[in-house]
Amino acid sequence: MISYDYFYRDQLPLDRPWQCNWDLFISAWDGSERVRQTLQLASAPLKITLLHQEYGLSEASVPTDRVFALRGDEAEGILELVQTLEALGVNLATARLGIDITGMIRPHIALLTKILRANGVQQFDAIYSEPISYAEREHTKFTSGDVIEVREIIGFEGRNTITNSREVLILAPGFDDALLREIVSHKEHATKVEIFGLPSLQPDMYQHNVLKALGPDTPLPEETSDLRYFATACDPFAMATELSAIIARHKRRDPNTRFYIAALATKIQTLGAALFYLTECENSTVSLIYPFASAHLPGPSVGISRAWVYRIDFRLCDVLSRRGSH
Amino acid sequence: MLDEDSLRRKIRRLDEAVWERRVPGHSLDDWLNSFSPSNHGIDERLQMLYLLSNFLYFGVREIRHLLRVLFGDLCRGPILREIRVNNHDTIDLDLIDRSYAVALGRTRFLGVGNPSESGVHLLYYFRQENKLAPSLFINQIQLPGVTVLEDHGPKHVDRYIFIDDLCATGDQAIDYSQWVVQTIKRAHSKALVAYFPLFATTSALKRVRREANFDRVASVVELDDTFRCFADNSRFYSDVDAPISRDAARETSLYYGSVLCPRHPLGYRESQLALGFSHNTPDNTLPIFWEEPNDLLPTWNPVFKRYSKLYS
Amino acid sequence: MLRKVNPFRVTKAVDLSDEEIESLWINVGGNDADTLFQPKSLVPILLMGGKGSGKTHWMRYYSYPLQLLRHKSERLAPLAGLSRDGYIGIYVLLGGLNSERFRGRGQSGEVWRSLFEYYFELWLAQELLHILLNMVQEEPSLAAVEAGLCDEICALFDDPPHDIPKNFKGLLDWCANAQRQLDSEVNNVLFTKSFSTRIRVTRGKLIFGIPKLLQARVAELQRVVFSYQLDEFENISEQQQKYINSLVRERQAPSTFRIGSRLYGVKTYQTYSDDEENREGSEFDRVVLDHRLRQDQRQWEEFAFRLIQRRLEVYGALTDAPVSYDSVERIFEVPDYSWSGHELFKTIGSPAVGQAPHFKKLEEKLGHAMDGGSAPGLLNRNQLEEVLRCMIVEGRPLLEKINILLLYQEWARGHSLPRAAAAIRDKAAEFLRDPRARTSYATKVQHFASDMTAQLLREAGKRQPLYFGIKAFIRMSEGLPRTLVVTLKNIWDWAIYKTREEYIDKITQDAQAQGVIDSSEWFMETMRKPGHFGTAIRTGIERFARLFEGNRFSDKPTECSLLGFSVRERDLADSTKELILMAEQRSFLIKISHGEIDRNTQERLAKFQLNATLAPKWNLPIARRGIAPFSPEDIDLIFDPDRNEQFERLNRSWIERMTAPNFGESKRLRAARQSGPGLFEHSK
Repeated sequence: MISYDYFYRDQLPLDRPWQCNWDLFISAWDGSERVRQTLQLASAPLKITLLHQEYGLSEASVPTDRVFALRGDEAEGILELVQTLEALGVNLATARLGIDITGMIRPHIALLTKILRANGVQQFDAIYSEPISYAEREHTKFTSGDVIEVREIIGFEGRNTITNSREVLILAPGFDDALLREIVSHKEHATKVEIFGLPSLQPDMYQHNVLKALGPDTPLPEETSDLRYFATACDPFAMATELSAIIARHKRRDPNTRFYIAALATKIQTLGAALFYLTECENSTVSLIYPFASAHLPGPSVGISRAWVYRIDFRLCDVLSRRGSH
Repeated sequence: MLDEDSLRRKIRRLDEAVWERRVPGHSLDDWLNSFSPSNHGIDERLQMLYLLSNFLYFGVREIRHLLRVLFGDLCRGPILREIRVNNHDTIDLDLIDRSYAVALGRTRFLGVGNPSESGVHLLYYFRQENKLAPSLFINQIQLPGVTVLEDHGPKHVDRYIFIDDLCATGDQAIDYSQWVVQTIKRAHSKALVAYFPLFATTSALKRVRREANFDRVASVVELDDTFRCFADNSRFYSDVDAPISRDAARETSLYYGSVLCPRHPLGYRESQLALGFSHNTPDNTLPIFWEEPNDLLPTWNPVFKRYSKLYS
Repeated sequence: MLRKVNPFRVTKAVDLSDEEIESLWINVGGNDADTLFQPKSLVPILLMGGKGSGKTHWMRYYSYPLQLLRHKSERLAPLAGLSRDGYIGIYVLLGGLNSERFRGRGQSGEVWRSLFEYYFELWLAQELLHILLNMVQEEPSLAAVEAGLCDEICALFDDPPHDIPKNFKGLLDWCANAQRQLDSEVNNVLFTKSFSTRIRVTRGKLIFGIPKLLQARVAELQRVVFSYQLDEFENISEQQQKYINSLVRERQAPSTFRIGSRLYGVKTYQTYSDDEENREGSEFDRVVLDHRLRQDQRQWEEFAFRLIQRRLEVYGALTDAPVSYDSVERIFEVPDYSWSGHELFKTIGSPAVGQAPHFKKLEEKLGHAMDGGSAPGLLNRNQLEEVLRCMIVEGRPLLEKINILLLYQEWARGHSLPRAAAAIRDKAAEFLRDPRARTSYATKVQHFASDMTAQLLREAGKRQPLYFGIKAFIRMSEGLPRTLVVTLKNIWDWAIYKTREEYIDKITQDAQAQGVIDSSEWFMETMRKPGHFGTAIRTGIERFARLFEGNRFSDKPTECSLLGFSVRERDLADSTKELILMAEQRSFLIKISHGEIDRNTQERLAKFQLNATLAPKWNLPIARRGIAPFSPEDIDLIFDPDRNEQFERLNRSWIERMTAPNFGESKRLRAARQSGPGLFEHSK
């Protein structure tokens, strides 16, 4: 297993503009106050705001000039974005990038990370901001679409083997229990392992989270001492480290295990899962899956309480990867 | 759905999923029976059920994980960062690891208070979870300024890290720091002395940072004012409707608290917390949750005993 | 006595090991399982089941790993065992192919189609080769023909593998490698932009070819059916289902298929063979597991009991063994709420004569109505008191409620209340003298006991539902084994939670009540479809539940034990029909066939019942009795979440029809009906 705690991460101030020297700042509009504030606090000569069609928001509602409407599935959208950036003269291999993932939909966060790397990016800053409160606490819902298709995120697929007796579903459940049930239902035959955000974004969220995820199909503490794990909710590197440990452990027991990771909790954790995959799981029996919905409820949150920046350094990933394979 | 039935059901699920079955059904019934269903128009049982459903409990596995986070985020993390920054953001893992090993070797961990207190008790798990060498853990008498021996003095140590489980008011930390930080710094002026409680309230952290002499103060889990059960902005009562009432709950807690724990009826220094750990329930938590029966209330039954028989 | 261990903790077949499935396997009524699954038949079967219907259990039971387990326990060598069984089950979890990848990514549909077909071919071949590899170590006769067989299998390829060892392992490795390479290419085509894989075998060649070769070359396999058991049909796309349908249509002996799918899982019956459709009864047989068990109550009860018995035995839950039906029944505390017992009377607080809440209520209603002139025949206070006295049956609150119900019925017809009350008093007395005589009163008692008991408990402030005892839980599970297991698991959890002592004496009423409510909520959540459809279905179900609840607790229920509705299905809006179908597929609604002919139109009515698992949430009955007719317009309304106000109006008038004194009619109309005392009276 690999420990990902070598990466830089910091808290950003909310009372003054950020001095981060980015050439390009990418954000995704979801109508929330914190995304709006982040756009103001960040400075870069070029700022582009993505618009996911799933939010159902109009281009006119976006508070910046350059809007890029994402179309099609995550691959089509991100590839088109990269083409547009290149057309705008951005040299991805050298540009200093700041990307606010707060309003982005999870599969895009993952795939964008992969495609940036494939296009020569060596490192970029990922930003995430937290709200002051969630309007409905543990009853918050994030999706409203009719069609939920559970599938692997493009770019994060795995290899399959016929000895499927060992399928392990690693779940980081969020508050939207409907999504959780869809995933569990889709991979009904897998052993379930849960990762909960602890410390959670707010101290009582952990407890609510566990309660929400509870059902007759959820493993409970005493009988499943090796089935509940934890990773700091606001640290992508902690998530990557935890995933690395869990998978290494299960692989020792049975190297033919097929893993499915569903990171439905914080977007930070999704970023961490993507990072883990890119570092250790290319061409392996691990995939990232997600319940794709046709509609998302825009930014269910109020205000801004904290903002984080994570330095995603692909060179560091390479070094860790080389070490991990020994 | 805030009626007795649905609250009982929520508590049962909490008991199974998070509270390590510390509050089985009969135990809950015993506790509730201590309250009256109608006391001057207040349904005490309903109010207490609601309050209990908000109790924040961290079990063994959670605490162990948090101890790993304490070390990772507050001890190891800053060292790694410093090494990288001082070496032009190096990604030479071998270099980093080597420097880290040296730095770790020059760190010492201590508990706050005397050896029987719960904060010190955590040190054992802290060491276990983080796979640290026993030699990094010392007692107060081994500190520079207290002993003449040099093993843990300026030649060999740069950092002294004090670990605690809960800093709810700051009283203990401030008291402790008066003596200990001075002592260390007199013998070792360049030492970094840090105080890291696992849990802390925002107000306590502010106080300690202001009044104590630690170079660094941080906690893993921070509880702001909204975690005080009966604060104006208490998060437990911010969006509930009648009959659930903060004032009614406060009255009930005060009424029984005054009998059970006359000096601190709403928790030590009125902390008003609803917080418990697998190894202990702090006295900052409302006494109605943990106090034992006395002559005035001989049939009282706590739900989260202060020194749990199971986890001594 | 019970140990504090929950024998129903593991609720899904997937969580059970092979050994556990084997030991927990229950035959549906003797050896009926084989009759149903027909493992030796070459006719393909589509096995459909809702969540928790036991479908996976079935498919795994009839697959090779479990066959092997059985052979071992009977000391049969693998080939001998297969020969005896007459079939070999090759279980394939379609979800394991993760075949949603086979689309988009800048490639054409045709490319994806042929790649999927190749992938599928390699996959099934591997499954079969894997089995052969396991067998060959123990079977010298198989080892003897291994090399020759492998040669022939290679010859099935258009472009055969070369330079590989002529044994099963070599072939298996080659196929695995080819499939792994394909995985790699599919996963990377977004970047590589093209495929380099060569398709080296025509579809079907391996899937049907290998079994044929085995049949010819291995004596013990001559009369063995090779049954590919493809589970999770719902997890592949429509196009991919079309492909599998084609394989089903074009199958060649000795191969056949058993396809496992959720109720809503089949997206198409079409095939690629001239776009023909596979038809039930023609290309395949269909078995719907849910229906099987639901249709035959007795069979379901027997199955359910054995399921419970087995679990109790395997997990050692009962201190006394063996486990009999009686010992299972005795586990649960079941109150005696019959009209002749005393428990009901005690439970509602043993009220003084004529002082129970139902009397107070009646007195109030009569009083108000009398003042307002809408109490037929009631002119003064004395008469009112006399009416009340007639209702009394000391110590028998249930009969008192029946009396009051009859009184309300008479009231609704506009009959003189004092006269009616006296007649009712006489009928009650007659009933008490000979309760077994078949009188209309006795029938009333039988039909309305459940509703009236529920009312009594609610009036006494008791909030618990009325479901106790193993029979009730079996009934409530509506033929779905998992629902039963979840319900019992919840009940056991509560019993363990509440018990102080080391052993549980009996499972209390409270534990049972809480457990079924938990199950009710679980069912509502788990079965739900997300999004707008899910919301519409949920809204519809909840509204029906409210209507039925209103009926159950009203003065004069329209129907006794109302749990269902009927409607002229043909006239429903298309969207409503779709929602009802979805509700059925998710097991919220159960279609009761044998619809009655509508008296007026001579048309068949569709009848639906709410899944009884949901009953505890609204305190509804679980015995299927009453069905209330609704117009298509009303049903459309009920399933439309946007028309809230209209529904509330519907609900109000629904309740009003069942409420004294006006029973939904305007005052004027009532007055007209009551104009002459005795004018509309029925003679007794």
